[in-house]
Amino acid sequence: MDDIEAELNAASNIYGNGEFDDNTWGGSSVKSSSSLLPPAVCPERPKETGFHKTLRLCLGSVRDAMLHHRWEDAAKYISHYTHALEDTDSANQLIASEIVWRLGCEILHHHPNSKPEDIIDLYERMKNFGVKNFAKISLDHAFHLLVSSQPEEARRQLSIAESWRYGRQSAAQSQDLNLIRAYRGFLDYITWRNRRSTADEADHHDDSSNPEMHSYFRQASVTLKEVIRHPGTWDPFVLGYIDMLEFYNDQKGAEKVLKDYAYDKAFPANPNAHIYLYEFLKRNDAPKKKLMKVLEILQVLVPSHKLALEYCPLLVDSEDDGNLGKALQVIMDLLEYTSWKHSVNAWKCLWVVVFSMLQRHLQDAVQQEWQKRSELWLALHFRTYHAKKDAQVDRDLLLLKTRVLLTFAGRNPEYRKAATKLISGNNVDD
Amino acid sequence: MDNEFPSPLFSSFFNDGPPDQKRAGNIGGWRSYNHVLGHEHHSQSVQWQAQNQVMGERWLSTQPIVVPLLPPSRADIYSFDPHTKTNPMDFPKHMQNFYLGHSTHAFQTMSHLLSESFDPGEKHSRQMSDFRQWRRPFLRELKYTACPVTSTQKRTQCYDNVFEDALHDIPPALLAELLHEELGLQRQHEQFPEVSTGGALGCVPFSESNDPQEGCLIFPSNPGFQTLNFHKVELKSSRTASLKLKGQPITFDLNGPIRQVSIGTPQDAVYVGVRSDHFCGAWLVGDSVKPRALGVIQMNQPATCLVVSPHVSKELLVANESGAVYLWTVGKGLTKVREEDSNLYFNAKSTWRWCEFSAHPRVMIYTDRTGAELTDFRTGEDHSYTLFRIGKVSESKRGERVILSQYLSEVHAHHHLITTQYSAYIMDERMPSVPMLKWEHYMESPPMFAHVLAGTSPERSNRVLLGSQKAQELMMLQYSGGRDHACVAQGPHQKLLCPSDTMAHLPVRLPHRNQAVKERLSLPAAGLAAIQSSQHLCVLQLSTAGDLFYQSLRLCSEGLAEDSSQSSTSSEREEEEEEDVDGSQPPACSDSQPSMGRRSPGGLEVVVSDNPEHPPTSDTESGSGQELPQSLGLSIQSAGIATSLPGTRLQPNKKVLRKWNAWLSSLESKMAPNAPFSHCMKLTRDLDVSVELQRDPFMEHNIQGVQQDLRGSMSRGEVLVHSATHLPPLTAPPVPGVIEASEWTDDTSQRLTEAWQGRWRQWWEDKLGLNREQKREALRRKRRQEKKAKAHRRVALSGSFTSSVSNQTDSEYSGWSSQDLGSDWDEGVPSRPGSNCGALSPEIPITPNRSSVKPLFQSTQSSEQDANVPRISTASKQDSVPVDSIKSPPHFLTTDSSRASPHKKLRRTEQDLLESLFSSQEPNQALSEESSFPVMTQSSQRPPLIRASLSQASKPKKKAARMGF
Repeated sequence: MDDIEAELNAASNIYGNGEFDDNTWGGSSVKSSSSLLPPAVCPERPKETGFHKTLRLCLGSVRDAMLHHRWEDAAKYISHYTHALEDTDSANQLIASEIVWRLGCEILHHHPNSKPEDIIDLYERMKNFGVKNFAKISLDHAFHLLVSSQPEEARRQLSIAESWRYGRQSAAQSQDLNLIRAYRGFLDYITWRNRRSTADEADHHDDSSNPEMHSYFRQASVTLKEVIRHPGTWDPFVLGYIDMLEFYNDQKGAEKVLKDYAYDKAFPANPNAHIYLYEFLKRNDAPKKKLMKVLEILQVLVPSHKLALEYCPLLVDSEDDGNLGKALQVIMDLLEYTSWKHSVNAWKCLWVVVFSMLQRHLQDAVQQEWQKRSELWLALHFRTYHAKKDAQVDRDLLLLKTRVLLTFAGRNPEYRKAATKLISGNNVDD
Repeated sequence: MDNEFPSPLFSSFFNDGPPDQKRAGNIGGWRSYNHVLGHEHHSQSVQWQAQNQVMGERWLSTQPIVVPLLPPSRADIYSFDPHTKTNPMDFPKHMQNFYLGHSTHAFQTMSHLLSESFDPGEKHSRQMSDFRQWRRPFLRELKYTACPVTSTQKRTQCYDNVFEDALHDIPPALLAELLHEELGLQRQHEQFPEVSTGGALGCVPFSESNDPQEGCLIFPSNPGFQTLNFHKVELKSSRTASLKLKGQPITFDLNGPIRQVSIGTPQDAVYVGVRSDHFCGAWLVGDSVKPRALGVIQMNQPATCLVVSPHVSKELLVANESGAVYLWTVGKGLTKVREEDSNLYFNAKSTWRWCEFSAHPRVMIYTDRTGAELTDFRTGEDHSYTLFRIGKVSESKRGERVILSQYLSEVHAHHHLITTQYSAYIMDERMPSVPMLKWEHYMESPPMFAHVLAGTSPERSNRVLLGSQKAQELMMLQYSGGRDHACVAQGPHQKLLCPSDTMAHLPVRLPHRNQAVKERLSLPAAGLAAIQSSQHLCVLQLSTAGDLFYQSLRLCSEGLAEDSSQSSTSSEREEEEEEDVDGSQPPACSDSQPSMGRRSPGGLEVVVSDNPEHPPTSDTESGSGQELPQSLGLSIQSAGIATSLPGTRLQPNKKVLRKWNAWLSSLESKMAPNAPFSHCMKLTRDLDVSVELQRDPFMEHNIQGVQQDLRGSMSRGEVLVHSATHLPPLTAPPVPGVIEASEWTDDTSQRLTEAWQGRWRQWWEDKLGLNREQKREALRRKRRQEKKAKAHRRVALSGSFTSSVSNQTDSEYSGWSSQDLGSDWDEGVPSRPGSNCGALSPEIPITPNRSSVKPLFQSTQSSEQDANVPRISTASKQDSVPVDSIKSPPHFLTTDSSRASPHKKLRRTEQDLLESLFSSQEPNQALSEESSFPVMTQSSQRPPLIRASLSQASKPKKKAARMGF
């Protein structure tokens, strides 16, 4: 981590210098803000030829027409912009091909007279225009085919792209190729799953009877296993891989994959990773302690997660005073989040925890916790406005909250008064 | 519910580290699916969903122009083009303005100091005392309070007037430097005024029901944005969705310009935070609550951010430039919750700080230019973790910085919007560091204002409105998800109308008025707000002059567009008829043409793509052999032609144009004419220093005569010529003498001389050596040709080496002619005995110019070998050297000496070399040959010629010229 910081600092120094070059006339305190101006969308070059100027203006018109959703105009302009592909500078050519591809696709998607074949045609042409964009365009092409419900064609495209080789790869290209492999593997997994379900339907639950299915498994598992080693968010791939492993009864392997996915420091803190692990353990009847451990880590990461409602009963059931105090903390933390404010289940859970603590004569712990939060809670949950709102949401909520408040704070005038008024009012209405 | 965390998320790599993408034109995100997710639909099929979806909700502008909400206020903004106003490179111009406009400040003090040294002698002139007598009561009447610092004297001022700009108070160099710096700073500020981040416009919706929507608009007004206005508005959900102001605004006068208005979450009443530079205020406003101020805090450091808590009433967060963030509980004061001396992730050299609340009332987002952190401030310790940072994780580019962050409490309890110059991100605080969604927004200037509107129902998309300050752009992005499903962006970006687009639709005015209106309309934006009902969206924009404009958008369900557009015009007309006409004259171009204008999806331009020549689906030939442009533009050709048809633009309706007309005339009446510099009166009459000019009475008379003549001729409409006056004749200036160009030897003179003769280019080429290559090439060509000619003679290289050194050098340096000769000589040497050496040695002193030797060789050799004679003649012919020239050496001698040959220099070198060589031993040999051969060769072909050359041989000067050949 330190290295990254150092790198970042070094990088920032580089930027700093760059900015210094950009504007030598300003005071030092001002430099940073000038860099906040984005570059022109179609930047003017100091020495540009008529050709480049035309292209720049043309691109500006395309962009303007697209942003105002004048697709016909944009189509007219971009058909002229294709001359940019004849640029003699290879770098410009590369950019131009990407522009034609992306903007052209967008226009064709919205143009009233375009047809699906045109988009495919454009993909094919731009893919083979320059080698450097091949992987990127192939991947997007496959996505396009998937979204337009042509998984077979998409799989074919991905296989072609996978077998493509060209010289040295840049980092971005190698990531694109990784993704290509991963999605191909994932499509294999889907085929495998379809085979499995057909096999289930036909009641042929026999491994040897379906060799084709297993070859799909092998193809899919190799690629998926490879890609989920890289740091990233791989929810669908991990789920697919686990599904296959579980089918072939490799529970240990699956658990290891999930643990790596959840606890590897190089990976982003993805709550789903913990949830998948928890669900997997739950499916496989793991001991409560193990489950609690997973939930504890998740609770620290995402205190507002709904699994806290499963964590609290586990803590309460553990019959441990310390755990009860923890449960109170967890549920009170949860209730402080706006999204849980009006959740009856959460308040019920709080009531259960408080009740069991009171039963075990832990009033002091409850009061201690309350004292820490009383100021916030009174402002956050127990005002007249909240009483009105709670009454709108659920009458039970109002009653629950009144009961909780009574336990915590004894007599708090505002909310109770309002609640009493509301309840009595409603009763009168009834 | 917001409690759900989407599962599964879209796949992506997690790259850590500093950004590596270079800043380039942003083209990236147009059509990219980014990633796809498969959702199980039924048991078998999988429904794939892209992260960037092609289609989103379609929102159409109901009018092609924005509509002014308020009559224009008087704005004291006199320079409209920031580029010209504060270009630091223009500082001489600014200094000039300063000297002209504020000459008293620029020069006065020095005059004051110097006044003691100037004693005119006469102490009290009558005029001076008169003036003083007049001045005192006058100033008393004016209640004029003189500046306590300056002690200006009248006399000093007079001195000042005399000295004019000769004596500076501030040294010009210093002034220039300071001014340049100041202009740089001002320009920075104008290009990116970060103080107004967040925007000074707010809108509090009142009613829970959506139709009609009511709210309270909170905006500053002029002068100087120091008045805070609360004005009730109503969004009429008619087809055009117009916004109406209700009643009178409630105003508060503040002590500084309003920079930001922050709105809390509607509860009973809404808390409104107002930020100015050094103080922040909190107001309470509600449907039934009259706006009232709750409290004000003052800060030493300029505040950069103020946000109202969406969770707990009376709580606000304030950040200031020192890097500290305070929790302000109204009525209880400030609590410092975090302080940072430096930027979060790297040194961005920025003091801008921002803070936002998050899903937890005691966790805040602390933002600076480098990223955003979640800070838990329940405990005193610093519990922070990264929510967002500029780096590879967010696929940032180099130089990318955070511009604004916003907590989207109304859209999703855990979502935050973060904008940079290039992109907009949706972050989920439950999964920090990884953007849930990323757009490239393609805006020309950084988006400093944002307003996010939640979809009116869960399946509807949320709309993100981004507004930029300088270019007054408005961009609308749409996204959905974040609960059960991962976030997806929907549809392409949509650029909304901005006030400066209006000009094209307004009636034509006088050019100067047009210019003034144009400048007024293209002023930078200062705020953004939006109010929505179920089918309509109304976007308000505030300009720095305090003008409020709005535009309405209507939700368009697919396929319904055409029908509704057909009927929309008619309904508009009905509406207009209902509206009582308020006496204002109908504008010139107000004819909305329902028959021609068909509403387009974009609401801007309508295309009639039914061109028979280009059927839209003529794709039969879009095969493999087709050119790309055609494949792209298959349907484009027809459309392209159709769009060029004139008169298909959507016209604004009459009501809107009437509003605009009223607005424009109101603007014109309020705009003060541009006051030029006040006329500068310099009073020197009272000055004691009287400069008495010696006047010639005769001249005086003459001048009066001329003046009379002039008046007379002017009245007659004639021209007064010199002869008609009685003035002494004009002295004609003498004609300068003839210039001898040769006398001027410096480069410039030479160049000018050459230029007069039309050889300027040649001179430069010679000077710069540009034609060296050409010369060399010509020389080479010559040599080649000679070599060709020589090839017949089969010259042996070894032979040339065995020959005398002098000949070797000859052939090297003497160019075309000498080589020829040298080789001849070489050939001759071995065949000849060296017995002749020394025979002519006595002649050496006679020929001080060694070059004279050379032609002698030539002649002797050519005549020496009988067999070679014809070859020589052919060779010389090839060289285009006439054989006759050999016959007539005297003629050559005369011309050569004066000729400016390009080989002159080479020849001179050759001569020098010869000189040095001959002075040792070689000359003896050479000269002996010279003396011996003539006799022998005379018989061969041209005896008289050789005689002539021989006779010349004794005359060194002439032979020198001959050698050149």
